[in-house]
Amino acid sequence: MADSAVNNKPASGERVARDLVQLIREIVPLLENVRHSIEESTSHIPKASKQLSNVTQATESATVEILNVLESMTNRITQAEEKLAVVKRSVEKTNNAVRKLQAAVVALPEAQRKPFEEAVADVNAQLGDPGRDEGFRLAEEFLARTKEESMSIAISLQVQDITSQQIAGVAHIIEGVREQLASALFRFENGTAATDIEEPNHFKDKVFDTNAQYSKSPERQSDADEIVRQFTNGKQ
Amino acid sequence: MADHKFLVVDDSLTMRRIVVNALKTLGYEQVVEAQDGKDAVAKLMTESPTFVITDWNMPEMNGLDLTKWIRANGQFESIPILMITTRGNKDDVIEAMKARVNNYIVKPFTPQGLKEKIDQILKTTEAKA
Repeated sequence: MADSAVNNKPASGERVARDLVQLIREIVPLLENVRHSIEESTSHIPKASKQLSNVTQATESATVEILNVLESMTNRITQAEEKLAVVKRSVEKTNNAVRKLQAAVVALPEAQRKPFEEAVADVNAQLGDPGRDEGFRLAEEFLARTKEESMSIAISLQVQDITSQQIAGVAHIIEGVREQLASALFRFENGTAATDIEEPNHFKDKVFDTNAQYSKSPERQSDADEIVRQFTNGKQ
Repeated sequence: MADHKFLVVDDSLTMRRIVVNALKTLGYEQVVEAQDGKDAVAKLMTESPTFVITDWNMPEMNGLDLTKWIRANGQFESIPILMITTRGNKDDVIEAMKARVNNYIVKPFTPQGLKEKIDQILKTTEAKA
């Protein structure tokens, strides 16, 4: 056909037929390649979907393990806070008792006072340690801050739920591509379904939000608050 | 504070754990969990919660349908409902408010934000009662 164009001569029917046969000879292996590529791509998708599912499961297990540790930490901190409060109360009671004892010693005849005064001085030396109050305050502050920080870690673990929804969204898109490829393959196979291609269903039961995002920006919450205010006439 | 019994509804185990922990830190010790709306309906019947915190996207029955079910059911219709969800579009919030949730939190939430919403809801609902 190219020759006839160059020579400006109309192609003969025989020449056209020959060119057409040649074209078909070239196209058939090309189409076979395309079919093979589609088949291979389609067969890889279930594996990709399974790997995404594994990622979701692994992050969920790890998150639960971290939450277990955090809960255990928080429980121990609470116990330590309770014990510290008991010790603090006990020290306060002892201080009060010593003050009463001091008052009683003053009332004794002078000759009997000395051993009592020495004993009270010893107890005071221990209880009157200026670092004691500061020590309690620091210990309470340390425990409260550690508890607060462990809560912050737990709160940050919301990222697992949000990313699992994002992964489910990606898996959904991949599944759509697989369906289209399978449909193309179906046509290549003269309407015979390719039975050896496993259909992925790892995210079948997962309900997700495609727009889920882990963002600490207050804008989305502020927008929601504004709508809530409109509905509740500013009561909330 | 201690009198309230919370029902936390979310299909994500990690989210349920996080919300329950946050509630306990705020001093709310009575908490039951449900993994979707259908499970929540069963827990409403058996556990008699006084406050519902629900996700939106869940299998079986989603949080919006759960809200509609609660509001249509005389026995439970006045229970406060707080929705905590990733869905932050304005249309979603409007739809949830039309279904009569009491307030709305966009994930990720903070303990302070959770406390504020619970306090606001309780202040309003207790004033009505």
